[in-house]
Amino acid sequence: MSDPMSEHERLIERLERARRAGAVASPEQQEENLRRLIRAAVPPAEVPESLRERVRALEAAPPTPARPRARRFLPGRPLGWTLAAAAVVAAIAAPVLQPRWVAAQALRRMAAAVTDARSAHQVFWRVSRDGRRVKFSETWYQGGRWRFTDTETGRVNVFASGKLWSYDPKTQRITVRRTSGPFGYNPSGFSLAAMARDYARWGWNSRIRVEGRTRVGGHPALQVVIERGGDSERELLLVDAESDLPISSQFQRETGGRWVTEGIAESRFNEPLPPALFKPSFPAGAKRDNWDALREQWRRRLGAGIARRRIARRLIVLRDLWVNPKGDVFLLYTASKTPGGVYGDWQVDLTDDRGVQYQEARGLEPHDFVTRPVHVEGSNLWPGFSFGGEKLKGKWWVPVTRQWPWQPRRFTLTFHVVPIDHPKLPTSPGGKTPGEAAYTVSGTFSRRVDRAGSTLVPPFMPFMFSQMDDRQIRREEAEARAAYFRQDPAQMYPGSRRQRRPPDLAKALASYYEIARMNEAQARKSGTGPYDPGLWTSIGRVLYRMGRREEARAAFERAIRESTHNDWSRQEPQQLLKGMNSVLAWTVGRPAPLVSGIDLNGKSHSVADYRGKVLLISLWNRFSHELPRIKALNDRYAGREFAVLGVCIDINRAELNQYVRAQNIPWPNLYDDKEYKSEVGARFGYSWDWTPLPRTLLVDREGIVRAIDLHGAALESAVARLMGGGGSAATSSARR
Amino acid sequence: MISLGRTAIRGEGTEQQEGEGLDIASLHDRYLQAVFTYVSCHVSDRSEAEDITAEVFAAALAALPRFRGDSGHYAWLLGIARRKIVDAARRRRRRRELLDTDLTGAERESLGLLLATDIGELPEEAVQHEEARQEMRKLLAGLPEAQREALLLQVVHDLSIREIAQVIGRSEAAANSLLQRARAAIYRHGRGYFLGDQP
Repeated sequence: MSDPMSEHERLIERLERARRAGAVASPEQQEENLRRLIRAAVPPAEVPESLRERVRALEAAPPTPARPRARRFLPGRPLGWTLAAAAVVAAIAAPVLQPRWVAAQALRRMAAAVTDARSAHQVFWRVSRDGRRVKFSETWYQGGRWRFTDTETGRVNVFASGKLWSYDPKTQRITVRRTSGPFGYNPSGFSLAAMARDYARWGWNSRIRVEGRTRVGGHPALQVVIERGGDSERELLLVDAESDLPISSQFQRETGGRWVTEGIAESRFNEPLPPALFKPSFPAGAKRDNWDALREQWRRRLGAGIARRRIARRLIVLRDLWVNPKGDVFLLYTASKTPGGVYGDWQVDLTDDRGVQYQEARGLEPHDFVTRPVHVEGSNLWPGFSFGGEKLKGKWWVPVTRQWPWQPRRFTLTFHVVPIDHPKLPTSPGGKTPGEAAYTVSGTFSRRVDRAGSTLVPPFMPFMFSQMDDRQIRREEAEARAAYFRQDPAQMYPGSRRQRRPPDLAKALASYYEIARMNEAQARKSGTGPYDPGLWTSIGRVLYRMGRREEARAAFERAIRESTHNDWSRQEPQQLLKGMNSVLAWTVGRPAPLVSGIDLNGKSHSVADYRGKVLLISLWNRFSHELPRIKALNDRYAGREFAVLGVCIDINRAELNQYVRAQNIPWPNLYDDKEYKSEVGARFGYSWDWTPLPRTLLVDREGIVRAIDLHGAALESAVARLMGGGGSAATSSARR
Repeated sequence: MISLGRTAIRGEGTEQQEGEGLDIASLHDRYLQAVFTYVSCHVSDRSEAEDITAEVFAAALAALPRFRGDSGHYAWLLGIARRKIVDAARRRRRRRELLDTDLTGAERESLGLLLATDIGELPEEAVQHEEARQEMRKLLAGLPEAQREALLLQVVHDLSIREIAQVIGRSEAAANSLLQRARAAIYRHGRGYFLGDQP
């Protein structure tokens, strides 16, 4: 029979006996006991052979030359499908951050290699609507070197030793540039942990959560979801539980209430890859461009400028003026505006001696939206040009009529500037207030251009942030023409000096539909999409103005469907649709909605309370109202079956109360502190987008809406007719 | 030979002085086990400990040309390791602690006896006994992290107070104070708690 007392317990018993006998250890003995016990408690860890191998392998890795640190900029564009693709790439990426010195480079490269995977191979497929898988791109990584190919265009990129080679088989050109990493955002590792860290660092606000556990090929794996609140895009990952490395990803989009897979990525790690993959060897006939040298050439050329003049105290330098074969005019210039100054307190107008009308296009404002250079660790975004501390600016004009064939012409560029660039001074030239107008000084440049370029895309585009291609150029051209014909007051620059013309909504719509057709063609080619919520929002706005309400509604709904992220691209059509529904709830000749609201004194008022009276509903705020006229009406019909109900769309309850008291407004005013998002306003047919203030609604004794948006004398006579007992009141809407 | 670091190096028969020029090969030949042990003390996951150790040597290789030699290689490596461990901890939020902290009354008593009683030489089997080791680990785990680290650097890794100060990035006086407080805490919890009042 075994002794139930353990050896340890026997020892303790022995110690206790010794202690009772007075055998207390000396301080030296105690210290020795302590040391022995601690050492025994923390024995040397046995080093596995795999670790020895890894550490030995470090010796073999050669260092790369040092380069200066570059400034980087944070882009402001939303995450779209392209970035989703970048995110796939991110999943298998490693850090090749800008080094300060040789050692740092070696350290980072090796640190990446040992903390994550040493090699990776990933294939990305696009899944078209019919379920077809089309290989989209393929990426290889090994020891800090990369190769990635775009299967659709055949483009091949190789990144090694701080250089990125890009080969385009279509143009037979190889571009070589020095860079800190192969991507705009360079991930710090392949693992899920690295992904989470990088997303946080880049501010992508993605939520990464583990959905469940499963087994892949007998190994435990995690099911991970990467999503962003409210977005209709997500990524599903299978991650090896032991290595934390992704096995496969699915890119899904929510369509009609269910998630549809649009892309698949599969990854393999730590398999030796042939070194030849990472050699920048391309077809012998291809032309080689040194991106850095070309950029330097452009920097010098733009630095010298083509014309300069002072306008008041501002020095305006034209840096480049270029025309493409379709007659689009591209201007690069500086306007004594520091890189930190984002608000353009100047305006440029373009005319030519052939009398062509030009409309400004968006998209050529390199880095305009960046208030200051932002360095995002791990990002590698192209730095813009700046000259003497001034940021390069760009303008792009599209001729409204076709310019084919293009004829030589003389351009006149007129700069309207606020003379001093100062944040406290008025910023918009030709603004509404006399002060601003007096503060604007104009000056012109005259330049003759004899030849148009041969490509749609301007030659400086590779060095700009907006890396537009032919398709994007064509899209922006159509968009600019649409904007020209649309003449939407909401879309007009407030201080615009350009002549206002009657809009041609049909032509605007035709231009937008041209873009829609381009999108469809692209979608057919790629098998996914199209996703262009902004386009359908614009189409909806135009259709609404044309009175085609149902089509407008469908366009807004389509914009919401096509929006990928829960950002302005979705919120704008949502807001417009909601506003449209509010406005359309009040229709002349139909019963007024029996809505209600709380007034400034906390008392509830409903349209139903006014049955039997002629009700004038006045939507107003302190800056747009017609109080005297409505007061006069109120006085004239006092004591008769007439009532006024105010609905305030204002920003400050206290000031509003004071104003109502000071103006001695006798009728109740509904208010809900929601400013321009006023819910009570929405119930009474107000929409920030659709209905300018002040607004009036006239409801007869039977509760039928008799007039909307009547003002001045027209309003007075409409009220008089209704009060006089006449049945046929105004039935049309008319602005003052 | 339990102590790592210098003692272990001498044990391997290499007589090169600390701070002398050293290539990466001899660096990991000598210190790999010690660094791995140090990392393992802080990182519960073995594969992560391996990763961090490899990172330490990668960083060391890169930084070796800039090594000024004002501390020994060993303390320098442990300094790198410490930073890597902190980085890793940031990456992975809080990891599960390697050592449990709650000592039962019986455990306190037995540890107190082991520490404080003179029965000639404490027998090796008593020291190496799994229960004793568990108890000591719990006691160590109960110490504030800085105290525990300083004590382990001194006892297990055989570093001087100056080197400890370098590794943990504090002054020598602060390191000394940490060590004293660590010892006081161990004696208080082990011996003092049960035996202090006894005659």
